Amino acid sequence: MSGLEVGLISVIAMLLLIYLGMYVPVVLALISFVGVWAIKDNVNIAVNLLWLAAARTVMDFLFGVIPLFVLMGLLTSAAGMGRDTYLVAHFFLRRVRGGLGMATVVANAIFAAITGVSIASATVFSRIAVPEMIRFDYNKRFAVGTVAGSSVLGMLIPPSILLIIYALIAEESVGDMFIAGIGPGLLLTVAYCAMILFMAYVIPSTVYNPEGLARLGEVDPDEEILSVTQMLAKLVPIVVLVGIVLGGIYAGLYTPTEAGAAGAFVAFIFALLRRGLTPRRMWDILVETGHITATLLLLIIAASMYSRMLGISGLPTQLGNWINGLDASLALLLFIYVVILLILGTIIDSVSIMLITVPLFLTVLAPFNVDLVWFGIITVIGVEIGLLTPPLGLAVYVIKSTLQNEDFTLADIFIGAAPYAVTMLIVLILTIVFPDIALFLVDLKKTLGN
Amino acid sequence: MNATLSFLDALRRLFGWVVLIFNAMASAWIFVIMLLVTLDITLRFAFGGPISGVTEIVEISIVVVLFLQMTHALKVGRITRSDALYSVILRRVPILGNIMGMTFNLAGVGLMVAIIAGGWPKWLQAYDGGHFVGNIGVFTFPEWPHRLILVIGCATMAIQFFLLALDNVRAMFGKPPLEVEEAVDVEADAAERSVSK
Repeated sequence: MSGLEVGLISVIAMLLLIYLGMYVPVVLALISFVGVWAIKDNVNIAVNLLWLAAARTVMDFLFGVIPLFVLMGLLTSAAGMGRDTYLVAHFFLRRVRGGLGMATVVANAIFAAITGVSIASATVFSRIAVPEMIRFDYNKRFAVGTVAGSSVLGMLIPPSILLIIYALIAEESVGDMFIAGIGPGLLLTVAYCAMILFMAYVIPSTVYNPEGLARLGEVDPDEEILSVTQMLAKLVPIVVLVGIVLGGIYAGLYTPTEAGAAGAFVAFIFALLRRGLTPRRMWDILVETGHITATLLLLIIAASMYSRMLGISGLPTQLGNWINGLDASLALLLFIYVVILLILGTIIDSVSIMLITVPLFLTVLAPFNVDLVWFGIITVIGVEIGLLTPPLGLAVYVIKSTLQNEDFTLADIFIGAAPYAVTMLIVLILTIVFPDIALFLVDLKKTLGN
Repeated sequence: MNATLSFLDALRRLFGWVVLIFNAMASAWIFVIMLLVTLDITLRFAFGGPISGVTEIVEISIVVVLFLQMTHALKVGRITRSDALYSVILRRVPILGNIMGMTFNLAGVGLMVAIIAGGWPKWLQAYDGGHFVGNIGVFTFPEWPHRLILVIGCATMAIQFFLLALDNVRAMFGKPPLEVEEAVDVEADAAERSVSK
C-alpha cells in the first residue's frame, strides 16, 4: 500500500477505535505500529519505532514539568487556597448583582495562576461556590454552569498542563506559551463577568430564582466581614506562589521544570502550615500525581509514535500540498481546524485531541508561516470548549460527581454552561482575528529581552 | 485442577503486591525529585554551586516513574479512554461490550509484547556494552537500569491488560471481576475538608 493510503486509513481507524472506547494511547501506538509495518513491509522497523518512542520521547529534563506542576496543583488545593481566593472575591463582590457568579469567575482566574489542572478548580468550586449561590437563591443552573464555565480558565491562565503539553509536542518554549495564555485568559475572565452582568440586569430570571429576585438589594444579615489581616493571610500565599513560579520563569532565574519543583515545594510548606496535610493525604496526593503523570506521558509517547508514523506515510505533506493547490485561505483552514476540535471535543478528552490534531495541522499550516505560539492558544481554547459540550464534557462530569446531589442533573449543568461555551467561542474568534491578544505580551517580553 | 487454580490465584495476589510496590516507589520518587531540584536551585542561588547530575537524574526519573506507575494507573482505571459509547454498549448488550473490552485489553497485551520485543535486546546491549548517560568527569550513570525498567514496566502492564481481559471473560459468564481497586479522589477530599473547616 502507498504511504498516503495507509495514512488516511489509519486516521479513520484511529478515530473509530477511540470512539468505541479503546484506550487512547493503545490506539495511537498500535495504529502507528501497523501503519509503519504496512508502509515499510518490515516488522522490525515497526518494533524499533515503538521502542524508540517509548524509551526516548520523554527522557528529557523538560518533561519534569509535568509531575512537578501536577503536584503543585494538587498541593495548592490541599492547602485550601481555592477556598481562600473564593472567600476574598466573594467579600468584594457580595453586594453586586450577579456578584456570586462573578466571584466564582474571578476566584477561578486567580486560582488558575497557581494551579494547572482544570479538574482541580472544578472540584473545589463546585463544593464551595455552588452551595453559597444556592443559599442566596441563585438559579441552580446558573450556579453549576458558572462553576463549569469558569473552571476552563485554569487551562488558559498559566501555569497550565495543556499549555505545557502543547509546548512539548510543538517544540515551542513553555515560558512563551505561558505568557501567551495570559491575555486570552484575562479577556475570557472579563467576558464572563460582562456576560453575567448582562444576564443579571437584562434577563435576571436566568441568574436568580423568584425568591432571589424578590430579595435583590437586601443585605445578608449574617455576612462575614473580612478584616485586612484575614484578607492578607489568604492572599499572601497566592502572591508568593505566583511570584516564585511565574516570576522566576519570566525573570529568567530558572527553567519551567525548576519553577515547578520550587512551586510544589512552597505549596507543600503552605499545606503543612495549614495543618491539613496528614502523611496519609500527602501519600494520596503523590500517588495521584504519579497516576496523572503516567497517563499523560503514555499519551505523549503514543502521540509521538503516531506523528512519526504520519511523517513516514507522507500524509501531512501531501495534505499540505493538496490544500495549497486549493488556494484555501488561512482563515478557512483555521475555521475547519476549530470545527474539527469542537466535534472531537464532544467525545474525546482535551489532551488526546491535541495530540491527534496538532501533528497533522502543524505540517499543513507550515506554508502559511503561522506563529505556533498563537496557534497553540487557539488549540487550547478550542479544545477546552469541548469540556463544556455534551455528551462528554469532562468539566461537567467532574462537577456532577463532586456534587453528588440528585437536584443537579447533567442536563442542568450542560444548559447552565452553554452561555459560557458561547462566550469562549467568541473569545476564540477574537483571538484568531486579533492575534495580538495572545502575542502582545510575548512580543513585549522579546523586546524587553533585547 | 483446584490446586492449579489456587496456585494461579496466589500468583495473581503476588502480582498485585508487585504493582503496588512499584506504584509506591514511583510516588515516593516524585517527592524526592521535587526536593532534589529545589535543593539544586537553592544551592545555585545561595552558594553558586549547583548539584552535578540533577538534569540526568530527572531525565532518567521520568522514564522510571512512567514505567513503574503506568500499571497501577491502568489497574485503577486511569488510562485515558473515551468510554461514553462503550459504557452504554456494556450496559445494554453486555456480551458485545465484554467482547469489545476483551479485544481492547488483548490489543494492549499485544502492544506491550511488541515494545518488549524491541526493548529486550536494547537493555542487554546497554548492559554488555557498559553504556552510560551524562558526561564523563561530571556525572555518569549506567544506562541499563532504566532500559531494564522499561521492559519490566511493559511486562507488568501486559499482565495487567491480560487480567482485565480475563475479567471481561468472567463477566460474560456472570462472574464478578477478580479484583477491584479504585483511586482515591484527592481533589474531592481536599474540597470536602476546606468546606468543613
